[in-house]
Amino acid sequence: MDQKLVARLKEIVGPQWVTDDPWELCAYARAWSYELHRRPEVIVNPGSTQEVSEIMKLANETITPVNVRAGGTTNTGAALPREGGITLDLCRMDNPIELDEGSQSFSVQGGVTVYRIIKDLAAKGWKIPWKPEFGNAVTLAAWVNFNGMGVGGSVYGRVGDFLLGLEVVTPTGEIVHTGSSHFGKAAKFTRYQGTGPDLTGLFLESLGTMGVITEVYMRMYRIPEAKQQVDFAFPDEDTVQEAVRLLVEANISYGICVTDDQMSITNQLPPAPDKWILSMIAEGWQEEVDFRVKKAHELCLQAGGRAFVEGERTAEWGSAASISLPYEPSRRQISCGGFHPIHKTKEIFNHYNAVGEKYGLNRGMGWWVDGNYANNFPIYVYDEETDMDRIFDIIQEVHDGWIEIGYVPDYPGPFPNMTKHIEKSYLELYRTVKKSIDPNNIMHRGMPPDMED
Amino acid sequence: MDYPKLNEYHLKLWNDQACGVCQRGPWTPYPPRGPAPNRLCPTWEQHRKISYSAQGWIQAGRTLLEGKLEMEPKFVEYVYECSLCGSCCNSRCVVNGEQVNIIKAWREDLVDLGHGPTEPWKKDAAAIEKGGNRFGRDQKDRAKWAEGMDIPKTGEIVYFAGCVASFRAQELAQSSAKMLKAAGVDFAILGENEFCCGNPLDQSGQSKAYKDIAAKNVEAFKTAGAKTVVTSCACCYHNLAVEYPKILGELPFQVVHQTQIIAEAIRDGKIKPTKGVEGKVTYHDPCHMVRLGGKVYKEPREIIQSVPGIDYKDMHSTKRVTQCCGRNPVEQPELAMTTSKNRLQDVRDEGASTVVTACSFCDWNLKRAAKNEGDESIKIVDINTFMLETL
Repeated sequence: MDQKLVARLKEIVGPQWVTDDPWELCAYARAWSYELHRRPEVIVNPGSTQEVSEIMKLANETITPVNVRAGGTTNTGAALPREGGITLDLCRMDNPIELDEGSQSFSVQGGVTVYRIIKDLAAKGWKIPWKPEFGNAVTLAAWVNFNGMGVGGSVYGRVGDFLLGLEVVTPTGEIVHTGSSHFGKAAKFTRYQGTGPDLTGLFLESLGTMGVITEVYMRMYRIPEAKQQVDFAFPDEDTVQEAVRLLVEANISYGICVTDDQMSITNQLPPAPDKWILSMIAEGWQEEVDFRVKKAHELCLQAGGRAFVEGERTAEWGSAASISLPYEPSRRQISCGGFHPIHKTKEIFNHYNAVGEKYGLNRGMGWWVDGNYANNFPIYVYDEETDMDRIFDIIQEVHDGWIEIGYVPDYPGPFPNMTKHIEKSYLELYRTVKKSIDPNNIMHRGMPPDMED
Repeated sequence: MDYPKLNEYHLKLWNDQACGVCQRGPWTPYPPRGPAPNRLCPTWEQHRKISYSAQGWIQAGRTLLEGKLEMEPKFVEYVYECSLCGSCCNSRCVVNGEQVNIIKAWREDLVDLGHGPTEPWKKDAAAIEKGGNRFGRDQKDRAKWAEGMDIPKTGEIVYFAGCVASFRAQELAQSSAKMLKAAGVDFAILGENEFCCGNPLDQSGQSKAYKDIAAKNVEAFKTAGAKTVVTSCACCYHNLAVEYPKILGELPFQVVHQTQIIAEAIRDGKIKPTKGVEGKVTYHDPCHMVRLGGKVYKEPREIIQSVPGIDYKDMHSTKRVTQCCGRNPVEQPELAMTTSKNRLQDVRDEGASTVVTACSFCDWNLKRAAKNEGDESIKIVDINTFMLETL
């Protein structure tokens, strides 16, 4: 890294908030993903939106790649720089959460973790719709960047469904507010407005490529009176798929999670009581929860399942257990998911399972429901020191098969890179927008969709 | 260059998934079940960079073992930034509670290779080698606190005051002795034969010196005829009860924290508090009494709650998930100050006007923070002094 650039960064944020010591860069060179070491050249910890703006202006002027590091809990590898450059660590931007109880909304800075949001809102009797999918260290801003999911997706959908707006610093350094707060004296109460298209969506699921999210405005909910988890066992894919279809049609669940028996074996947990376990959470008023639980029993039995008996192990909700496994020698698990209609679940599972069997991999399949579709999170176990090339080929084979079935990937990449499957006209529109907002392609450079064919 | 002790944790280093649970958001449900702490890593709170957390040290350690980094003085200082409070060991991470041991092993390698320790720890070692205590004070003054108290030098129960209570805050040792007497315990002290427990040596990887001083203490206990060693300092307790057996094998005496004896005396009716205290009271669990091998958290509460009419409330982050007091006010002064100020804030958040603790270092750090902030609204008091006021 050019030391003149480092010096200018120090002028912006203060010398203690810039480091290029190689041992400190190591922490930013790995994330909770299959990606191996990808080291940034310098770490900058801005303390305000204004500082982020100045950094972005400098980076744009010098055409220096910029990556934003939040919790590092994405399994995509997007938290890691693909071309060195600056990594922005936003964790200093963690002012207290601002509640607007009148609008049933809150604002947080880009460095606040979901863990803290959940705790702080709970202290006032409020909650965000979900619990995070992969770990509590995630920041809400990063969750927006991934349009993340979580427990609760059955009723609430994904992060984008409850986003009310953003404060964003563009790659050229402009500070923009989206949602109702960009207009006149309006509060941050709705994502939509009468002043044109929904620009919040430009940054949603952008994987950091469109700008730096420095503040998030989001809907909050009262913590419900009651919440209950119920578990059911199913002998095969047909019955569990049918049960989920019935539950979603009945619209009675807060969250639905399904795992196969291999997931328990792979994670060295006590054995599952049957081939598939379905866990449903209901929430609401106590009477409402009682009704939903009763109805779930009816529907799951109708589909061919059975209720857990006392003492059978129930699924643990809240987050995936681990990406590293308690094996010796060291083993990791790679998650390679996507979205598909619920009635395609059996086909999706069979293809993934066949590929795993072909290569003799320990594996496990899980999926949950986001609104009207399934989001699967299958895992394969691999040895980081010997399996890296092989595992990439295997994952590519899984996704190639799933494309034929009609799924869409969690994200367009970086691995597998899905650019070639994107409709040409959509890709051209994307590239035009990206070039207009990030003319020097400095933000999360190298993240798909590719900018060139 | 080889780092054999660090390399013993090769599997843990390679398994680390860099998921952030050790600094910014632990898994839920959090172990043990119940409220998760407000803050996780004191060093992260001080530096606000993921490099200053278990994740940072583990990733740097792995990269070092891969041969992609070289030790240099600033890098050595970085390895000595952690306070080893063990908060990250709770975070349900695949490193599985070994974070503190990994950093200690790395520091041992650094000492063996001549890179470490850093200056403050070298000073500790020199002071201990010269005078037997971490402050470099004259060892003849070790038992000055006990003058006029008529405490013998031999006995089956031996009270170990520790360096802080012997030299820096003698009122702590005096209160401890008075409480032991109130409980009807016949006890002895080692006097000039009591040496530093070795805590700074153990923390900094100076394992040979640590073993030497531990052996001297054990020999002194044996000579005094000890069957039970009692201490009122959580750091000393951790070293005597948890660390010594690891390096010296089974000890010929049991080690207890003083709160265990006093709680028993209250249960037996030997101590009966009669006076109440004003305002809301809370208790700060020292890290070393509740994790890293320690499990003493019921007894202090039992003692405090024996006070008639007491308005007691636990803090949010407590017992096994307690927050560090700062630990090393001399060796890591800035880290200790930030950490202890954060802990004082926890006390304020509970609305408590008194915080009781059971460790000489916690007492030191919390008082230091309150003084620095000019805050006289919170009474910081060790558990023995607190109880004496109620008898």
